[in-house]
Amino acid sequence: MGIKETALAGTLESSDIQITLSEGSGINIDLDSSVEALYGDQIKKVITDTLNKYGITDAKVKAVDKGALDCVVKARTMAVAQRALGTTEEPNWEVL
Amino acid sequence: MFNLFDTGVTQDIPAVLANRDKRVFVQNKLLSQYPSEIVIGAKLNTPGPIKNNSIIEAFFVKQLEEFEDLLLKEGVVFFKNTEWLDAETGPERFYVVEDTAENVKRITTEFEESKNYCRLFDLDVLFLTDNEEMRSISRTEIGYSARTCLICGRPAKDCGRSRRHSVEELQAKVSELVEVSFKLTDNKRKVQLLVNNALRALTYEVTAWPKPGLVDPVEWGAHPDMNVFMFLDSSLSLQNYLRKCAWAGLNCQTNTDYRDIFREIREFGKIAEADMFSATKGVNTHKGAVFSLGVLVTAVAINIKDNEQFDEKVIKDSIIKMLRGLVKTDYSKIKSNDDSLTAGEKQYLKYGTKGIRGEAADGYPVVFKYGLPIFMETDGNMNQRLITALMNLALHTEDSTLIKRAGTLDIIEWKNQRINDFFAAGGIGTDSGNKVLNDIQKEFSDRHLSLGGTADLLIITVFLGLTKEALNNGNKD
Repeated sequence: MGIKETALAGTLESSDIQITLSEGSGINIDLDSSVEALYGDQIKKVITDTLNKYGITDAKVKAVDKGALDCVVKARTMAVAQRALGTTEEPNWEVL
Repeated sequence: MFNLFDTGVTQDIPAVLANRDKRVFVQNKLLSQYPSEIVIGAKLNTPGPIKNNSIIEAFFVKQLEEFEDLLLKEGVVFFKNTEWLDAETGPERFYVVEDTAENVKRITTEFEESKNYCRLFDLDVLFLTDNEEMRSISRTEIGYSARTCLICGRPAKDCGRSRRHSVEELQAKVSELVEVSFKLTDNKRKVQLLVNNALRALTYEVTAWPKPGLVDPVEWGAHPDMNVFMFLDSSLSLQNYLRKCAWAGLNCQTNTDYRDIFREIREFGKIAEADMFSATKGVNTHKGAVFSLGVLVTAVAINIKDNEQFDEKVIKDSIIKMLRGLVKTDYSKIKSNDDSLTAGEKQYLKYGTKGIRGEAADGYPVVFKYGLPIFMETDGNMNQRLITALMNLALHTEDSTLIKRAGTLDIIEWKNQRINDFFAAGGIGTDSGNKVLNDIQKEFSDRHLSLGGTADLLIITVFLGLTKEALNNGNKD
């Protein structure tokens, strides 16, 4: 399954990862990470596995990692997948 | 052992990430509102699922006061804009700053590295790029090294990503650091209390009216070269000195030689005397008080450093220990042909009286026996308490300034007779007592007599009394 619309989740703060999903064929991950040499494969695996759980098999992934833990990578991927599939509403920060 | 993380609501990953999104949203909003300014996002790095509680919040707020002081000293224009201090995800605050990102990052990094517990702060410095995107500036961009781990000193990112240290170990370390900061904060509060009460004592003394042989706001015939405003100026000039004395007392350890503490504050006192003379343009308003009040502030600081129970015995013992050998040492050096002798020193040679130094070396027995209990127990308004304490102190003191002005020891007997007349007439609360007191004040002024030494004893009496009241009230809450 592909995705309906381009979506973004996460921030560029340290210990976070910002993930952008857009249309593509197959899962292609462009990862930018300060810990890529050590953890690049692990981060890509978590992203791919999580996208697969949502049935997404075709998407271009841009990930900017700032040292996020696996649990954060997973949570941000879930959020971006739901947004790309149109299954979630954006939080309305204006009311905060 | 103190555990900072005993209370608080456990946070899960989605809560922390949602808060992070909110933070970035707020930062973007601030930068769009103030596009040419810098935004500082302040938060704490707290390991584990507990991110906030009342102690964490108090630590955050208190240390940001220090950070704001640093910004002020660095000449930076800033204002606090948004904050959520009690959020379960941790306290946060945002500042808008007029400066370059590089300079602000330098200041925030220096703050973070200034104390071990300041390393718990994470101060992000954000600005808009030319294409209007929010960007943060890193420590390494301005030539500082990246953050290191609190536990092992490796780069913090390595330890964070690999989860090298357990949450328990990190929480214990953070608790230890915060506890150190609270000790310092607590000491600063004690210093402020003592300095405030010392300044109150100085200013209350000169305000009390009517005082024979002294300056009050209405009459100062005995001291035509002075007035009440000069005394207020002189009092304020001593703030720095009093603060240093309070710190010296708090820093006294069980194995400290108390005479070293006195040697320390005596050097502070020399600077204080110069400050006083500069404030009064050369008139001696508080030279005696610089000595006595400095010693008392230090002694009370020693008393309350571990335990905030006012304890007269501890204070008195500390004074005696600080001043041990002082009278003998100082008086043995006196030479009768020395032109620069003080009134007390001359009278020691002439009459063998040891004056204020003897009183001090004995731990101010007149203050503890008469001044303080009378000040505490006298009913009526503050002026009545002050005058009643003053007249009792005068009755039990061989005031060296009085002997000096009179030129004879016989003045003591006359002084005591007149004070007894005042009390016999009913004291300050009564018309007859007030009349006698006004008469005495006139007699002192006409004869150019002074009770300067007694005024110093009133100042330390009031300092002790106000501090005792403050500590007792504090303990009731």
